Amino acid sequence: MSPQRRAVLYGYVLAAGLAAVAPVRAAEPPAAPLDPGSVSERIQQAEAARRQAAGQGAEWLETGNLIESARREADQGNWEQAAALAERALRQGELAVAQARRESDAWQARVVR
Amino acid sequence: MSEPVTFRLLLTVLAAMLAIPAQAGPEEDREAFRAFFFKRFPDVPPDAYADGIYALDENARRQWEEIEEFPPYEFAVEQGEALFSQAFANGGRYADCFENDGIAVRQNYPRFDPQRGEVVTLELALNHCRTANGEEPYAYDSSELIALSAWMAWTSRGRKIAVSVPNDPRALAAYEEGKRFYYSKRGQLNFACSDCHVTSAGSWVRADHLSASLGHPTHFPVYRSKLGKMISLHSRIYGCIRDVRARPFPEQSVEYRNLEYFLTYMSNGLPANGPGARK
Ligand code: HEC
Repeated sequence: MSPQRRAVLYGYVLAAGLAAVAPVRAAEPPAAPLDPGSVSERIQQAEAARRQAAGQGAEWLETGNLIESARREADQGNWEQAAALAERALRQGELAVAQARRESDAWQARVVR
Repeated sequence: MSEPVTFRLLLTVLAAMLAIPAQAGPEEDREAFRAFFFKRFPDVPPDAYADGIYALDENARRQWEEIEEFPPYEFAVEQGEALFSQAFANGGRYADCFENDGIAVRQNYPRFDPQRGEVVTLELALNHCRTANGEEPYAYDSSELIALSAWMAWTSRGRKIAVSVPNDPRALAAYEEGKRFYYSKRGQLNFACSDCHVTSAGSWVRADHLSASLGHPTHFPVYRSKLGKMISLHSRIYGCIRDVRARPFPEQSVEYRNLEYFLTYMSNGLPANGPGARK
């Protein structure tokens, strides 16, 4: 294989790899090593997002429980579980805030006229 | 006026007209709401909507009529009547807190209270009556409060629902808040009340046949055979919100009171027929 063709091939492989990883990355816990500081920071971020959603009356059902469970796991030093739970809670909080933002206008289109 | 000025004025007026969304008033909303269901279910007589899903489901209706022969809410009505006629420790009575001694007034609730500047539901009015007479308020899911509400509903049977939105910007704002809540998607499942009880009314979701929102508030409190007890309207709403995986608000929260205000206004003119019985 010529060096040019090899470079092009590597390029493809790299692009395909990135494409495969990119959509799921956001949902995964942050890469190891997990330090307690970053986990508790993540939990705080999740709690902030939950509060923001709640302030708009848009909190989801499980978010608070997820955060509570994350704190419990963190207290017991189970950083991986704690990080995964915090990540889910954060995602829920962010989606709820986005939902509220969308709905601040979108509801009008549903009104029976 | 010079021509460019006239033109600019015209543009400004046009822009202003476009910027103000055609804000329909409560009465236009109600007419459109009724018309939607009347068109969707041309064979269902208007007053039948007070019977919830039994207006739309012939088979379920027959079972329900059998249940209504020995009404499971009768006990609550009797308990409510007894509680209602008992005087408070200070000698005051519930009857003193309501128009017409509290008989046949249920259809006028919820009301906008100009002194308080907020929507007052029947349950809230009952608790205000208690605290004004030096009594502790009841918990909103207590059997006593639900029984009182069952009795008052009973005395209003056959009256037409007659909720008013007075000409007060605060009343209109409360109504609008309720309307916004009703039509907003919420929760992990991303559903609005209207997605199920307007757009999908008459269809099945899993084992449930969806009722129309027209007529929803006419018959509360309701005896639910599934739970073996009486529940309030707010408790039912709580359940629907939890089902779409949103965090519910507590009973009698301002959110639910405004929602009840909007929802009941939509049912104006239908017969009050509480208390009710449901699966
Ligand atoms: C995912 C679908 C769904 C959504 C969204 C939903 N509900 Fe329901 N609701 C149901 C089902 C199912 C029932 C039970 C069958 C019936 O009567 O429709 C029900 C029952 C009810 C009842 C009792 C009806 C009766 O005759 O006693 C009320 C009131 C009610 N819903 C109000 C609401 C309100 C208000 C909202 C929005 C906050 C809402 N629902 C959102 C599915 C839904």
